[in-house]
Amino acid sequence: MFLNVFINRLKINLRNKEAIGWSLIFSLALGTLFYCAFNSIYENAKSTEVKVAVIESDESFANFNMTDMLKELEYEDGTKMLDITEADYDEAVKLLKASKDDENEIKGAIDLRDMEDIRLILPGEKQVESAAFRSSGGIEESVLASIVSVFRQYSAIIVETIKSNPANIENVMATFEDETNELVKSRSISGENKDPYVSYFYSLMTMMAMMAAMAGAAVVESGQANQSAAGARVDASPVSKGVYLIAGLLAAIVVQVSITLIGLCYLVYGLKINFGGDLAYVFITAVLATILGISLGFFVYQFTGISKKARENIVMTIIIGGGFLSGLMIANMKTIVEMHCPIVNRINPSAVITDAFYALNMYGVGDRYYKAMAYIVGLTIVFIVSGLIMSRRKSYASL
Amino acid sequence: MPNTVVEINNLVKRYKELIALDNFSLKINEGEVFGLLGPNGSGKTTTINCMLSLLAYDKGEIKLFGEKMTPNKREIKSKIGIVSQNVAVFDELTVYENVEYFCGLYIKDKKLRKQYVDEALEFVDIMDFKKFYPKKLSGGLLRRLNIACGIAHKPELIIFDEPTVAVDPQSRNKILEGIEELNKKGATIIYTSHYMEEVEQLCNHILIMDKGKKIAEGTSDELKGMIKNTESVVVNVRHLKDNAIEDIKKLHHVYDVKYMNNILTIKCSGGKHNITHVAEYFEQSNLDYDRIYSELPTLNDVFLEITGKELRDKE
Repeated sequence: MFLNVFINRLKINLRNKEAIGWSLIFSLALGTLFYCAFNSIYENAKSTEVKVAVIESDESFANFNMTDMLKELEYEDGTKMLDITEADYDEAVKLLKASKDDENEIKGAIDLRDMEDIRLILPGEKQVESAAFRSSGGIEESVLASIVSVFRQYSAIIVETIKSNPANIENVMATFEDETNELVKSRSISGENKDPYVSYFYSLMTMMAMMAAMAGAAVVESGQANQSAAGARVDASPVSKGVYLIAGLLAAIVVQVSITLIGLCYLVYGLKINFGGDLAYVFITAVLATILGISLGFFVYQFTGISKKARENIVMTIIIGGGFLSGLMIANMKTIVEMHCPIVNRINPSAVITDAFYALNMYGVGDRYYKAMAYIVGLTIVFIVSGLIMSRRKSYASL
Repeated sequence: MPNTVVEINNLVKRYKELIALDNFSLKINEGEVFGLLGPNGSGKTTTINCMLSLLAYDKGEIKLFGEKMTPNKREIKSKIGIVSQNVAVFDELTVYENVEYFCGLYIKDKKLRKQYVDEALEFVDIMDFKKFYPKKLSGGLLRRLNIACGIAHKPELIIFDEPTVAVDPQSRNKILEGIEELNKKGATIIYTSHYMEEVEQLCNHILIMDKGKKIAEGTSDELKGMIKNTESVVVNVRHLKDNAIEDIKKLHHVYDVKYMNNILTIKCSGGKHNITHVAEYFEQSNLDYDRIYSELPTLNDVFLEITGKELRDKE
């Protein structure tokens, strides 16, 4: 029975040209539109050598020369990442002031004088400590911010090792030099994506995933007497409700995930959008996000006490409203929500998906990414299990 | 003594203030073609939905095949087939796939399922359209597909809920013939309709309901025997003398006379030669008439006499 339902639900989904068409058109057309809008900026931003001043420490730190490491950083195409001018603090400040009037001058200064407090100084003497800072001033500043962020993390480890286990410092340094070089490269080049416009494509992927909610809703509609005539036939049959819904969900997942992957492949291989991070994780995130979208529709449509129109409105409100609150429309909205009502960011599907893409984009695969993915998987499980429990054999108050 | 397939006792179903079923009871025996007759909104479909445990009810008891029916009774459900009022198929599946899909909810064995699907398609005579999508079918063919989906798994109890609504006469006859054949093969049939002719033609036991209540039950003849009217003599006459109606009322067995739109309807209770008496009166009174004929009472007359209203709206 499972196979019968699965195969036929698969056929139903695949032959629903309207739904498939809209899902694909949405991703392909909007993706192309974004590409056309941002392409020139995007192309110019590629492999930009960022002019930077480096304020060195007078003495080397345990034979660990950070300036040399900074000089070695390069993009995938072999272009140097940084064009370094070595300077003391006063010279660097002068250069920064001059850069206000001359676009060809330095974009920032990396202050290496204090290993426990490496800083990035931007024009206007704005000091930046964290790579969580997402440059609003341009791609170059974003690149610099991400580099400083990585260096701050590792210098903290070195300092800690010197304090707690000085004998081990050489081993740590040896490992560290190799790792830092690789990590800074990968994070600067791909992990912390220098292209700020890629966030629009992440938003697009989030919306695509959320729109899959309607496929989850269709599974419920097809199997409940109060939703459709065919649903009444299914409800009156001896087929297990759980088996029916799980088979239907799997069929929906196969089709919707395929649509998402086609959309993503078009963006990655067709439009050559640099999604940053490990591409495999971008795909995994998109797949799990799509399943979360389906599970959302599946869950909301189990509320059989309210009208179909009301359920439709709830799903659309969650998709559109949730998208708004997660910053898909206004960039800093997610931060505002985090400040005033952080729980919304944990339970809003759009927010958790955006967060996963953001973490992947900014920090690469790491704790924050795994945490975001855990929320995606957690919410999916909650939606599906709750939906299955709510759907258990029951009679309806009205048909 | 035949087994009882369906037993409903004192069923009450309310939609807020509206009472859809008011202490409604019925009993259906194995092998019967049971007609549930009533006007739109009388509670026929509500009864069916409660019976199938699709609809929750407020009071009463429903037993199918001797067991209390609940939403979890899969064994009972496997013995039932439903042909709903609304065509319940998927537009994205072909005729064959639709029947196979619904049959697959009952029959696990793929080979047996294929055989059953083929038989069902042959039975409703839509094998030639098996690769068609429902949207390409005419209304009659769509109804036949709906039936095939409901009967393919060879259920013991088949519920037909107004299966001939908006169907052309040719398809309607095919459907009715098919139902008779299913009954001959051993299926117990529940047939709900507001078309009295169909119910009269098909059903060997009829229950007439209105406003959620049973108003009469029995065979067609038994029901007709419950009312005063045994024969209506109808005369098409253009000019009637002033005192003609009063004179006719005085004829033996006549209890009601109506004249409207040049049609004189004379209702009689009892007697075997009422039409002869009326014809003789017209001859003796030198009254010309175009046509005279006799009508036996219908279930509509039964309904009309008991409730004071027509069984269905004039179409």
